[in-house]
Amino acid sequence: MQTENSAKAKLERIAQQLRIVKATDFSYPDCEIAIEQLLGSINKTKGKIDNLESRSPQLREALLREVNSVAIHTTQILGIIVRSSSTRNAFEFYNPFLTICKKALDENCKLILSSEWDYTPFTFPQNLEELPNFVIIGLPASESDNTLVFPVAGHELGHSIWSKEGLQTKFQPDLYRRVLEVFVENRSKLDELFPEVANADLNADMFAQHLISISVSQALSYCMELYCDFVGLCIFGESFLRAFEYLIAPTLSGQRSNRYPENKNRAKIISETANKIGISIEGYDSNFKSDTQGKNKRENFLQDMADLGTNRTIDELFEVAKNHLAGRNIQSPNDQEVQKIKSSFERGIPYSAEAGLGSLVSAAWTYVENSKGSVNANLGREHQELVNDLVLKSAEIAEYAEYMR
Amino acid sequence: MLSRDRIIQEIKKTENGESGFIGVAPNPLNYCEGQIGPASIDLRLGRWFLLTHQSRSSHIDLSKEHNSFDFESKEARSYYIPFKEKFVIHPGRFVLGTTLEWVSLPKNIGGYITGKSSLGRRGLIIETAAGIHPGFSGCLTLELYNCGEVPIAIVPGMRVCQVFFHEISGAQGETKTSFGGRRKPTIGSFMIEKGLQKNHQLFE
Repeated sequence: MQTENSAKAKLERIAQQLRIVKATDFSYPDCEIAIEQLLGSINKTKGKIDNLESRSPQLREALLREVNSVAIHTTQILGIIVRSSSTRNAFEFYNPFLTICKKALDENCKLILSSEWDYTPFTFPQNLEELPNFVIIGLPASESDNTLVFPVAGHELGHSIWSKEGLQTKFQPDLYRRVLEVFVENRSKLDELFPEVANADLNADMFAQHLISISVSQALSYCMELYCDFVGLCIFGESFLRAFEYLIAPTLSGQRSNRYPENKNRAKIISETANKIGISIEGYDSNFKSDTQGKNKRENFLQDMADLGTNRTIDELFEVAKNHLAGRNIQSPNDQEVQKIKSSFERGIPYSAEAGLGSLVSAAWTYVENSKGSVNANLGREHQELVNDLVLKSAEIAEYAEYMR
Repeated sequence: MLSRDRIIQEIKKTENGESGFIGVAPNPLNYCEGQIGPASIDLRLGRWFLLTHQSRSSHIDLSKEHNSFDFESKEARSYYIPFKEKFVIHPGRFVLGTTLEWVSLPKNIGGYITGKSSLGRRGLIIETAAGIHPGFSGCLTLELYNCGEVPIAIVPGMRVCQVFFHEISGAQGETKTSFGGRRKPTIGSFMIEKGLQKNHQLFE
């Protein structure tokens, strides 16, 4: 009975926090809608634990565990919502990025852009049970008003598109076939490291199938990350490469992960793909350091197979990302527009026509790269700070134009 | 003082990519030409506000220098108000706001910002430090003060002040400005003349 009372009290205290936060001011309405939906989810869970004594012990335990799970999840999301209203955020980017999200996903899409006390940008893709229409993106708190870094939000949006479009299911069969191919091509190494499958039929042997499935699963993760990079690249152009380099280079963890493509190779893939659409940054991947693989040769072999399978899927991943965005009228930055914006910034004034986010941030990067000295002598501000304000004001001008129509 | 025609001419030249003229963004010519009067331009209220709040400090000591960043971090709080929402200034409250427009002036033009009589008569004072130096570029910080007896609701995008432009006569000097290049209101640093610093130490 004590546990049941605690469960009810915990849910009530979370509901109370939700009501307190809901009563505060938000910079955009989606936060309030999210809190409303979270309150609904709490009430639903509360309803489930009414009359618990009449349930079977197994069902009681399951429901009490669900309460804890809802408590953990709701608290985490509420924290993100609270941090999203901090004035350190680049609020002027909210509206234009929401427009991109709506085009990329659907008109009912909601967005929460937050600043997190975690240096790695993250997302809850549009598949949360409590908030099914929401894309939640968190950028590191210290960078949350740095427009130059914002293009990584494009990568995070990619996760929602990947999930919504069911791309894992779409890519899985071909990826399986490609990974199987590379296993066959590396048969002698496989047999040396895994004598259990020496001379076994890779299509039929259960252990061989298990090994292949590990590599396929890793390759799917790598493909998802690269797909998201390509989404960021298509939306933000050169500025995506710059932002990615700023945040990641030379490396964040240095250790090879089963979830992410190898660091230096990933930079090389992004750079080579960018080349195909006319974007080139000399020596780009040389700024990145290779990840260190673990000591387990068997695990390393499976990662290598996943890499090889992924490498054979890159062009397709890019085409799918590019076509998805182009089909939804999400334009890549336009060189002519970028030049015009840069010229405005060089004169110390925002761009007064309506410009896309990608063009604005690309122009800002070009301005910063070309600036002589660190400070704008006339205005006494560091170039990077000045251009940040110019970009955000330009985005606000575009929003104002929309508001006045 | 520059006439309406001259102001329009200057803004158009900047819009066409030329340097050395008055720039105003968003460009009022794209939205409402009525924003430009016979010899002035109306500016709109921006979305960022800065308020001093109750803190551990007992007072603002103007016998000492203040760094803008330190002062704002300790004594002030920022607010961002979306379009379509109101910001209420209560009687006796002092708030820093900003113009929606980013104004840039060439070396040969300065300006004065003033309130609008329609707001002043309702108790809203807009600006007390009215001079805009030649070469300034940025959003103008507004010193909003409700000197009336009832709360006043204001909304981003409303016309809140007006600027008169003046051509500088004589040789044009250096155009360094200290509050420019910003989209948010700023308190700015507070400096004390060198000669006075020594005397102020007597207060310690």
